[in-house]
Amino acid sequence: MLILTRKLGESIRIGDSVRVVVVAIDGASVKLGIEAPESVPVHREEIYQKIIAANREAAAHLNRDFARTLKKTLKFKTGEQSDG
Amino acid sequence: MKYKITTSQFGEIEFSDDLVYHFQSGPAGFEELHDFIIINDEESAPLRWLLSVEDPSVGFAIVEASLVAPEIYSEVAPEDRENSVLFVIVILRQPPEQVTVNLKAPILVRKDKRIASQVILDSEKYSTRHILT
Repeated sequence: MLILTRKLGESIRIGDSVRVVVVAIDGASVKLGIEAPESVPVHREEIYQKIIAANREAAAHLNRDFARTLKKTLKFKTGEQSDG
Repeated sequence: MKYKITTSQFGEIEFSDDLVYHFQSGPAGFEELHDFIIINDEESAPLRWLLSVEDPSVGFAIVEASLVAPEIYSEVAPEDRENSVLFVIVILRQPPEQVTVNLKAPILVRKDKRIASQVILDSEKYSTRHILT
């Protein structure tokens, strides 16, 4: 891993289209500003990992038979509802 | 052009390429998959199926966001909302009380351009595992 030291207000550039600026430092927290083209998604790592985990779990639980049985049990805001 | 894929849940499916949605980068964790179809399944409605064309073993149960959390539409940029439908991915964990939807990262589908992407909402209000029952 490349490690660089930057001061408040300084930035780094990744490729020719991504810039990361140190916007604020407060104790153990660092506020970063990121400029990147739309084609480069930027996410907090832990949220990205949660989404990967949820996607993998969803793909692993593909079950049409179970889905059929949910029609009456799940609560949807509109559409057909079971009135018990 | 016609496609034919064989899936565990639906057997053999044939469809033309104008039904395919293209992801520039597939759903998180499945970035290498770009082409998906959405199957409307009468028997499981309103749940639908987002199936990979490239790897038929990969698929997701999805439901229109408007049926479970219409408020997330307002979290998407207006220019993205136009001509778009938001779906959320469902984890079909049994029993039904454990079925969850991912409100944090819905699938934005543009029917006119046949493109789709998994977007991550900035708001911290939304969970990746929102219980549906």
